[in-house]
This record gives sequence, structure tokens and C-alpha cells, in this order.
Amino acid sequence: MKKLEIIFLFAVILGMSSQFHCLAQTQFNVHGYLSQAYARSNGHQIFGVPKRGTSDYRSLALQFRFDANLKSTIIIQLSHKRMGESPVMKVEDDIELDWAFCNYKFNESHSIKIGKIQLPLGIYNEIRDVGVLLPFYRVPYAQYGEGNYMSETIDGFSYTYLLNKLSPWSLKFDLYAGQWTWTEWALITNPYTNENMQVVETAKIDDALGVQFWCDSPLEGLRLGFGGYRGDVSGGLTFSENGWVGAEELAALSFSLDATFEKYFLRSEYTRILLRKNDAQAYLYYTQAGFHLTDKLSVNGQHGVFRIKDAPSKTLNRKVDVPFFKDYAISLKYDVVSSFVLKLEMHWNESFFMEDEPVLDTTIQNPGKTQYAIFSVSTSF
Amino acid sequence: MSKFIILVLFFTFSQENYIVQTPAKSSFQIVVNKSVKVTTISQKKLSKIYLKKIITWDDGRPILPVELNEEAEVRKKFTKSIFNKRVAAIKAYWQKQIFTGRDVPPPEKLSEDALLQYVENHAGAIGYLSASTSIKKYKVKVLSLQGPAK
Repeated sequence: MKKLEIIFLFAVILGMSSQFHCLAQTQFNVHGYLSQAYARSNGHQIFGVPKRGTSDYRSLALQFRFDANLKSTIIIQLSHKRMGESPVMKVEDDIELDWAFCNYKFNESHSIKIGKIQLPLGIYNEIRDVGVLLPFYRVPYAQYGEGNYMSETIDGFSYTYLLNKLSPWSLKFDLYAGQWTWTEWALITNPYTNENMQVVETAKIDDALGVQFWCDSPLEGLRLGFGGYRGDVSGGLTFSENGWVGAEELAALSFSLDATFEKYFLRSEYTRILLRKNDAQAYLYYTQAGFHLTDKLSVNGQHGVFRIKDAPSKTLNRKVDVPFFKDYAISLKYDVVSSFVLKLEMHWNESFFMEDEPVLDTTIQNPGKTQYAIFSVSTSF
Repeated sequence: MSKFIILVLFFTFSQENYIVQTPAKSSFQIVVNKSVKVTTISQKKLSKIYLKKIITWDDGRPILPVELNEEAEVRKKFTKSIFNKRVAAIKAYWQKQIFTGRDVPPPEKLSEDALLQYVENHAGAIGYLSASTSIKKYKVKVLSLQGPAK
């Protein structure tokens, strides 16, 4: 571990032990979270999890919040993330600016954020690394994976409107605009040396414009969501001029169901992505369910799918459907206290995300298969 | 079967609107700073205040809710009574609010005395404490609670 990482980790642990944040209603607050994991695969390497196992698997963040008054807030969050031997680690700095924005509340209904803000998309996007809140180590990859044109943040602004706060139904509406980036990687074989090499590039979406609606039902814990965005994508391995697809206009529509009750929860999201120029579509969906066996112990299950429909195949000279990603998972989560949880999970994965097996052509190849397990400890303050 | 569904729906929706004018004896009392002009508060409004969904009193002054620490028995009762949830569920709500950058939870006090001092010294403050606790030596006032709190 490098010096900077040690200092950062120390600061998070210090914050957890002091808990000064909650003892006074001050203008300045510091919060943070940490998830540390040990992960091991029994087949291929996937999401940085090698066959021999790794403990270089963690996510932590420190948040500094300044409430100038009841209406204006400035927030900065720094993060440090390790994903074992994942190719995306090549472009990940030791400490990164997670997000930083100014929030202004006009009143109890209207507010605006400007800066590098969290993308208000779906159930999990804004809390994708907050381990104590998640039933698994990571949010469902089928929906929130970076390979699916997603990002945690957007450089731009968002406007939030809350409607009918006092009635049984309430509506939350987010409008956002700006740009975001994501990391793409591929394992290719050098034809001269026959060696595998990892290629990592950054793709981006410009002029993005999106909305997210949430409707809270009178049945407390049940809410329905609907969202969508569009934007111009370029760069990376897929959307660069010489890339597999080229620059594109991307549009996405999504539906979310979140039923979270005292004893159990059921969450499901479905997204359809359209690549207009190539007339290709991707379908992403997952379902999660969890049940509290006791106050502290819960068992959770998850199934996620990412399929591409009508992908242009240069080899077959026609359009084909590609089963890009499929994952089944179960987990046991033990809440020692609400801010300290342990998780043990097992995944059965079938996808083109194997990091030790080159993908030559997804339209004619079968996806790789592997199983992997993660044991993690998460805390927050 | 359909009658049963109608009954369940009726019960679910009607929960939101009823106000019991003479509540059962509560295991906690609601205290506010002397500057607060209201004398009664509904369970629904109280829950929104403690989730910071309502942030100002009717006269426009900011509301400063204050909590007891997580282990306090009266907090467990208050949370169950006002939110019909466990303290852990409310903690999870605040974790989400914190890490989405939306808001921070009300401050927590380690004792009822500390809570009373806070309420006494902060205009617009509101807190709760055990029904049996004497508040005579503090300049605070008690709000009567409308709703099904026990």
C-alpha cells in the first residue's frame, strides 16, 4: 500500500472512531465509508478477481460537507478504490475526486446541484460504493456496470423537484444535463508474439440530457421509478472513429421497482439502450430479493442479464443477438450494527467479461463461465 | 378475494389521513424550544421533521430536530411509534441521505439532560425524551402529540 493510501485509510478509520460528526449540528461535517474484501474465482479472472484470490479489493471515501446556511451546501467526496487485478485499475488514481458540487435549496420542493454530481439514475447509482447499504459487495453489474455506458457522476447540473410531500403519494423528479465518461477495456492477442495484452480506453458521452422520476406509493416502502437519457457517445474502444461501432447517438429508458419492507425487499430494474445509427439495442435487467432471517442476518439473491439485440456482425455479415452478461448470486449479510456489516457472497457468471480470455468476436463466440466468491467487511460513519 | 383486496387497500390508504385527537398514553414526550409557537403536532408531521422533509416551522424559522443516541430505549420506542420502523432502518435512510450528498441526520445527544440543554439553547429545536423525565429545570415546552403514538 502506498503512503497516500495509508494516510487516507487512517483518516477514514480516525473518523469512524471519533464519531464527532453526529454529536453536534455543525456547519461542517465529515463522513466516510470503507469496504474491504477478499475475493477469489474458481475459473476465469473476472472484475479483478483472480483464481489465486486477492485482498487488494476495497472501496473507501471521505466526504467533507459545509452547510453555509439552510439553503446552500458545498460537498466534496474523495475516494480510493481497488479492484484486484482488473484492467480498469490501470487508469484509476490512488485517490480520486469522487464528486464535488454546490447544492442550493430554493425551498422544500426545489433544489439544484452544480458541479461533478452523482448521476441520479435508478435505485443504486448514487450509492454504488456504500457497502453498508448494499446486499452484495457491488451494485448489480447488469445495470450499473461501467461497460454498460454508465458512470457514477455527471459533470453538469441537476434540478430536483419534490411534489405532494404531504399527501399519501409523493413524486420526485430529477432533471440532469452534462457529460460523463467510463472506462472500456479489452484483452487482445498480439498476432506476432501471441501474447495477450490489456487495452484500456476512456469513452465519453456529451450533451447528455436525462430525467428520473420516482413515485412513492402510500404503501410505505414501495416506490416506482422511470427514467431516461440521451447523449452523443464517442471515444474508447467501441465509439472511437476506428472503434467497433464508431461515434453514436445513445438513448436509454429505464423502469425501476423498489419494495423495501421491514422483513424483506424486492428490487428490479430494466433498461433498454438504443444505439440509433447502428440500430442496435441492449437490454439490461436485474432482480434482487432479500429476507431478514433475524434482525441482523439476511439472505439475498440476485439475477442480472445484459443482452445486445441486433448487433452488427462483420463475420456473419448480418445482425445477431449477443448474450453479453448473465449472473446469478446469493449472499448472507450480517449487520453487527447498522454501520458495520459483514457479507459473504457467491456468484455464477457467464459473460464476455473474463479478463484472462481474449474475446475475438462476441457475435460468433460463446461467453466464458466462472464462479467467484467475495467476503467483505463494510463500515461507515 | 376481491373484497379482501378492497379492504386491504382501504385500510392502507386510510392510514395516512386519520388523526386521533386523544392519543393513548405515550412512552415519550416531545419538547421544543420556548420560541416555537405550536402547541400540538401530528405524528405524520413529526416523522417528516425527523426525516428533514419539513425544515421550517409555520412562521418560517428553521426546525432543529435532535435525537438521542442509537442505544437509548426511548429512541427505539420513538422510532417504532413515529416511523413504525427499527432504528437501523432509519439509520440506513440517513446513510443514503449522507452519501448522496442530500442531507445529514439530526445531531445525537448522549443523555436526556444534554438533549434538553440543546433544545433550551437553540431556537426552533425539537426533541423527545422519556415520558417520566422531569423537565422543570429547563426552559422548554411540551408539545401534545396527535396520532397513534404509544
